[in-house]
Amino acid sequence: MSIEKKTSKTLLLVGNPNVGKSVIFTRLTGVRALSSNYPGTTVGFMEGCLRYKSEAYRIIDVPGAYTLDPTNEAEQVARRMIDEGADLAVIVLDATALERNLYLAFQTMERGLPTIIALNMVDEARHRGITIDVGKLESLLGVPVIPTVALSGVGISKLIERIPEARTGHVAPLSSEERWQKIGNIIGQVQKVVHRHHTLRDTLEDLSVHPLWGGLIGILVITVSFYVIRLIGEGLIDHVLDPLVAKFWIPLLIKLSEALERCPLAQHLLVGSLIDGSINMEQSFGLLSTGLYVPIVMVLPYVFSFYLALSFLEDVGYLPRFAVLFDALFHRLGLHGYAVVPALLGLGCNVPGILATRVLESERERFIAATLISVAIPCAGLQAMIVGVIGHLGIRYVFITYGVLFLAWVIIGRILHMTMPGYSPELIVEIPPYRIPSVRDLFFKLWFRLKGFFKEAIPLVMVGVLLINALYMTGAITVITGILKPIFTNLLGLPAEAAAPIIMGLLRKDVAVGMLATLNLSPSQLVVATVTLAMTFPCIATFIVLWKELGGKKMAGSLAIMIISALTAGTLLRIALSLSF
Amino acid sequence: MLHVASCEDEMGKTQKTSLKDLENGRKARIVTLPSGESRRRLEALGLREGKLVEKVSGMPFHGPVTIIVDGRQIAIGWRISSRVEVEPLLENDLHYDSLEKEEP
Repeated sequence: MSIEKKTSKTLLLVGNPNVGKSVIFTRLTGVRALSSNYPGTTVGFMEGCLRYKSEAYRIIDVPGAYTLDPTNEAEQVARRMIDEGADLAVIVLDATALERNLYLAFQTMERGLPTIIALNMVDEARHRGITIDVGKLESLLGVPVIPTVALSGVGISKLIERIPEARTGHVAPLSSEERWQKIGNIIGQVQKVVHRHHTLRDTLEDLSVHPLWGGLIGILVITVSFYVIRLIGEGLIDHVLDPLVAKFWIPLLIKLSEALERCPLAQHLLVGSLIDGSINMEQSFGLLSTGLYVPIVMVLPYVFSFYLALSFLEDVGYLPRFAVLFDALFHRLGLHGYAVVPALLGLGCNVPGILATRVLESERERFIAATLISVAIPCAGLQAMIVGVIGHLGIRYVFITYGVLFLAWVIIGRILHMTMPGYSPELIVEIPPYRIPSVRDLFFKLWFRLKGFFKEAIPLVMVGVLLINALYMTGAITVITGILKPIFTNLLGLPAEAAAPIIMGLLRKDVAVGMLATLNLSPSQLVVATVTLAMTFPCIATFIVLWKELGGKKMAGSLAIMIISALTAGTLLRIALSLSF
Repeated sequence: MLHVASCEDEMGKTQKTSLKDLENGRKARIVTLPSGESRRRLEALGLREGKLVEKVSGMPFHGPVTIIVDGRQIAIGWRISSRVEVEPLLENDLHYDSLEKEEP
């Protein structure tokens, strides 16, 4: 998609976090948007296009900021974007927190940008007993102010219509003290607040951060989420994708296999080896059988349902409450509660999880968080396979696997926190009100997340399947298993053949677990192998992103921690299982 | 701007305390914020000296404290919350039931 820079005007969309800015962005631009990183930083932003009458606008969604005296990297980027200048700014204000929101608005207007203001969530403000005199606000600020409700689209066309009226406001550069005073003055003139009684939502919001009730709500949210994720994921596999494969894809593969009978190499690579005389989508290991089946049928449904649930919790506004609940625990691992967000994202795929550690303040925190994610947080693909493969042995073994990973997460985090110099910074976070999410926004976000999975997972699985075939055909696998045999048999009690899946794990862990399933391991061996596989070397995509985020030296440290802890956990688990079963 | 009677009236003196030690459900006026980086982060979320806040809850095991400022919940880590000095409001304070803030 090309967004012409010369003929179009540049419009900055500015606002605090949680004011509905991204909803306004999608309302203005439609779904065709481009996501990129601000040069030289790790902060992403969205860019889109709006055409109105003869004018074209390049709309840049500036990262949410509370102030232009930056307190984090996102605010630094926001400041740089605003300082670089643009043709105009649309400032989105949350009508329910006008005073605080005006601070950023003033800072932006003081820089001389022609401005127009979207006073968003006016419906919610009304419900809260807040009335704002829009006409007066407009004359005091000297710029157009348009009341909007982005979620339902109210006021958006008016906002677009009045974009040409954007102008510089009645502001001169002020000190922080003067600015707050002026804002206080304006608020006194335009805003009236009627005291109103607690609504059901207020009560729910208070209970969500209550030590006891908040904990119970948290457990309920987690349980329901897992149930829904499984229901949707399993439903898609059992009732949609598997029947489709059986009806259309397998007959096609059988025909292909027959056609390629005189070319065994191609037959082997594309269709794979026949298991008990027929094509087995999980175990045949051809590019078009296992290579497509694992990512699309076994993993994608869970990735989809996971991100659907996560995006929903995000848009409802629940995630910051998680941060409050988990802060005390994370604090003991050298992190603060907000690190729960990267950890949750990591449960979908480690790559976005590690990228999200950028929200954390210090390098120390980012190292701990990224290492913990890649060691002990199983991604959706891995989890789908853990449930699929180990689930056959009984739910007990699934619990053991998750339990060991959780313990490893706590213990490694604790050790890192105790041994690394530095301290864990404190949580300071706004908890937005609960909101009904915009379906449009939800699917927009979901689509962006799934696109990442498609681009990355499917090619890697293909490469992995090819690599495994090459290892077997060239005989390289015997050499590797020979080298790794002592570790596998002595420490982990596994047959040397388990080396092949571990190597496969470098590319995709989900496929690797699938390979373990073909080895005829005992239940205990399978659990040990899966835990070791989950904790050891990250998959290639995670590896690359770790390298980019941490740098070579720290990444090496992180890898060393992974290998040592994987072997330790595997050995201890083997001993524990042999004692108890 | 209104002048608010300081809380040393006939009801007896209110003890200054920290956000961490403030009772749940109690309203208070911020007296001092900690200095440095955390001050800037608190200010960015609308906390300033003289602001009215209401404590919602404090989590166990040195977990964060949640307060309401201008009708919005904010969670603050335990250690910082112990360094935010506040003056609890009395029940009969004329601002007790109001959401209005008072400029210092």
